[in-house]
Amino acid sequence: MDHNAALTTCSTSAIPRLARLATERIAELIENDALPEFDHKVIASCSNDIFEVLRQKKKLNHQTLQTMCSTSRFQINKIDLMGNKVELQDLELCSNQNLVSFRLGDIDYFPNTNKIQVADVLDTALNRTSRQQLRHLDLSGRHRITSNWPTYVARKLPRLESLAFANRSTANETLSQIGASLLNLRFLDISSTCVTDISCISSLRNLEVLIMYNLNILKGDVTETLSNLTKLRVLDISRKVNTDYLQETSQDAHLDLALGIYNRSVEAIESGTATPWAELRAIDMSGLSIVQFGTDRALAFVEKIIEAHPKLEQISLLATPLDSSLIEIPNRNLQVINTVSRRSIIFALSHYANLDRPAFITHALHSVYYQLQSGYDKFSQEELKECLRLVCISMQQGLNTLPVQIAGSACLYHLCKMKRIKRLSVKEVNNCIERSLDAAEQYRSMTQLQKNVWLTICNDYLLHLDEIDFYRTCKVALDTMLLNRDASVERMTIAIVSIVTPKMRPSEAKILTTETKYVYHLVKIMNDYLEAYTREHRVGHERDNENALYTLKFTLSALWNLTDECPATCKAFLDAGGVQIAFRILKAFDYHGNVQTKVLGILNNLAEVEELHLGQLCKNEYISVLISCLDGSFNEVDSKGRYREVERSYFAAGILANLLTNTDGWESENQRDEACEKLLELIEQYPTLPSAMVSYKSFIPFSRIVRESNSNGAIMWCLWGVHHVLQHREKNKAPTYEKGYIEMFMDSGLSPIVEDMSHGHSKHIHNLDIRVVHLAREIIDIVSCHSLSSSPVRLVRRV
Amino acid sequence: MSENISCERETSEKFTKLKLVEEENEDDDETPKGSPVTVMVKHREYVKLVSNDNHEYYIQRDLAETSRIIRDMLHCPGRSTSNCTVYLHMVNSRTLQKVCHYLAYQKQYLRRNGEIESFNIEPAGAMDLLLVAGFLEL
Repeated sequence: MDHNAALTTCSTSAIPRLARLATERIAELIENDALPEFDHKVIASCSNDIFEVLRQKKKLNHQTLQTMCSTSRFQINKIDLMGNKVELQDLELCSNQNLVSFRLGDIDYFPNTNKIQVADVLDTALNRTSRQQLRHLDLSGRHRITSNWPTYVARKLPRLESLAFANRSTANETLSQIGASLLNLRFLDISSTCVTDISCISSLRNLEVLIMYNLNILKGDVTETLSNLTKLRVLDISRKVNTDYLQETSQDAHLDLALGIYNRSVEAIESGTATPWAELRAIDMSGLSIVQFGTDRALAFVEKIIEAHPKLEQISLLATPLDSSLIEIPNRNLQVINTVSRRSIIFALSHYANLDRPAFITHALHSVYYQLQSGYDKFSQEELKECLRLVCISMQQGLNTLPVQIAGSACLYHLCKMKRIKRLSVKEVNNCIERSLDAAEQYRSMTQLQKNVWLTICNDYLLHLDEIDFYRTCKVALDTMLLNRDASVERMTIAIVSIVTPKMRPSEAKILTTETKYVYHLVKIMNDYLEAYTREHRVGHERDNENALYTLKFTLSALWNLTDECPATCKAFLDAGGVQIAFRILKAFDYHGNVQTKVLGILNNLAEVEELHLGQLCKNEYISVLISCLDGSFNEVDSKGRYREVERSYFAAGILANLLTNTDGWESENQRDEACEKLLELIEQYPTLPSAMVSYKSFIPFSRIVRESNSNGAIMWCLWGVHHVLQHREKNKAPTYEKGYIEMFMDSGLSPIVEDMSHGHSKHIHNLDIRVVHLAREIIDIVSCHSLSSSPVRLVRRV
Repeated sequence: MSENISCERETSEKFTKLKLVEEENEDDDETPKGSPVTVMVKHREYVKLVSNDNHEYYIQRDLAETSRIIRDMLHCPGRSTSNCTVYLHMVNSRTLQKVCHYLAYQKQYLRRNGEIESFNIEPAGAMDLLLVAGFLEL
């Protein structure tokens, strides 16, 4: 009935059914309070499905319950609140529907005591009709409940056939009330309760489904009790197992149910009669040790049970000595749930994924992991998608179970590794990322889990997909970075931050970049890794060297992106002592242009923020370093076609240009002149690059300098930058200015000033250097050509 | 009737848009009225699904028969018309078009490795689609 009914909602097909797609869409619309009006009633099966989707997404709240329960549009007859934070007023909404099935979950309603007042809760949630017709009641959950509820149930729920209270600390006395009064029960789930004696249920002769997962029965003749239940079709006597050793975890002695069933089976076979359980269709023996006669006799043990029950269709033997055994019984259509093959592993996972069996889910996930690790290529496309779907469901439902998250995240790693991601759809990849991020947020200090997650996400192919949620990825990575100082976790999270920061929407990036705690932490890491690198470089540990350098580079990239046009982050960098560390890095890595460029990029961003008054950068020592960074072999091209030395020089020049404009605090006028002259001399030597090496969201950083500065060198830098992006405007468009760089130039107000300069005039600089004049002319040439070619009047027809 | 004419024009636009028909059969226009409309293109048989507002959708038979209900309707014995047309009186054109999209989508779903667009459902049509999906057992 309802235990098996759970199976029907979990589709085993990888191809999404249209009904499912529509159901999920409607649930999404309800969640966003965007469901359009419609004029017909939605039948119970559809309404129930929509409700269940909301429940699984943990989106049952006052608003969604109001939409679903308060109107007559939806006819819901099955309400399950498990896993959602529900309050008493939400239960009142449930009473608007006439129910046949109700699952409470754990609600926050403990007036006066520490226990959920079951009678009150049921009175609130169930209207009169519901109470009259309710067939299934599930009181499973972890909080304590009042113990006299069976009396309520017996009195007020006359039609009840199906009852569950798994995980409650219900004891024998309560069970005996059930045994005495609820004689119509056909389904009973007493898993993981404190019951140690089930003798009282021998009166429940109508029982067809009995679920006794993880029960420690100490008293009574269990086999005798069970033999009264002749209508049993489904029996679950599985136990939680220590998956590493395939042993039952409980050290307490307990009565062996399987042995009793075995003995009856042998008797029945030998006497040619039937066991008491002639109607048995399914038995769950997962987690049992079945070593009564030795492990090698386990198969014989189970075969006797199968033989004695001719109607048996399904037997679960996960995490038993028969876990990897191929069991085939001739002339029997028997489904064996174990991990003998890839197909059976996937089936086992689909069987348990939506049930409350974290131990078996973990076990199945381990098996999936080994299959993916050693035999990925053997997975068909359908198996792969099904596997991914089930792993994600398991992780989503088992968020509170660490072993499920660890095993699941390891599976996701293998599913998404490198190019394997190309076999998955974007939606599937997003699902993997969401489940990974959920796990990372839930278990911040679990290093192994964190490693699994970030290894999965730190994937070039994945991070270059456009449709993933970069904001959430970045946020969780940043938060993890703050809390987990494991070296490899740190390395990966910083790498991810540096890659995704520029991909976020500006509004999202702003939310993150204004959180100064991240910048403080990154500056600290800069310092730590600089010291580690310097130290290890001396000692000569090559591999650690590489890792430290890698982390440092990504830290710098992350800071470069975070400080871009964000004064708050720049200030945080400054306050954290970032400038001093930056210059130490510039000096320590004087042979490493790549690292220097990143540092210079950060300082460039800082220098653009006028309010920071970066007088501290004008120290002799710092200016010398910056001037030395101006020089280089400008015609050198690296293996990727980049002019690294030009880039480094350009950024150093930008800092100097801003300092020459902003600050009076130069320690030496000579140095000021030297900087100015170097800028003019070296910028003139920059070659024409084949493509743009920078892009600008606006020309504000330039226009300020051009308008106010009395330094030729500073103006030279600005004009070179403007000229450079204008030159490459066709192929490298302005990232946020739709009209393009020419328009950006015209709108910035630079045009008349540059026009003047091209004729050798300037309003605020006395001796305009000829090199500046030349550059100004080149800019005006580009702009004029552009206006000619885009003019409506054409003198010459273009071929 | 202007309405029907516009229906047909829209329908032929829909043909192109849905990319369900690879090429038009040249003999179509010469088919005399009343005879079975069997469109054979590249050895694949097509069937016609008609919505309650008379929009016609041509779709490959094997795709249409994914729905047990449509399959049964196509094979219903004793029908006076051909077994290539199904009249879906409870489905409007917007929903039927979406159903056809779905049938093509699900065929591609497993075949294509990697990138496959998600199946978008407009808010306004979601409820109708749910009902029809249930009815057609899709």
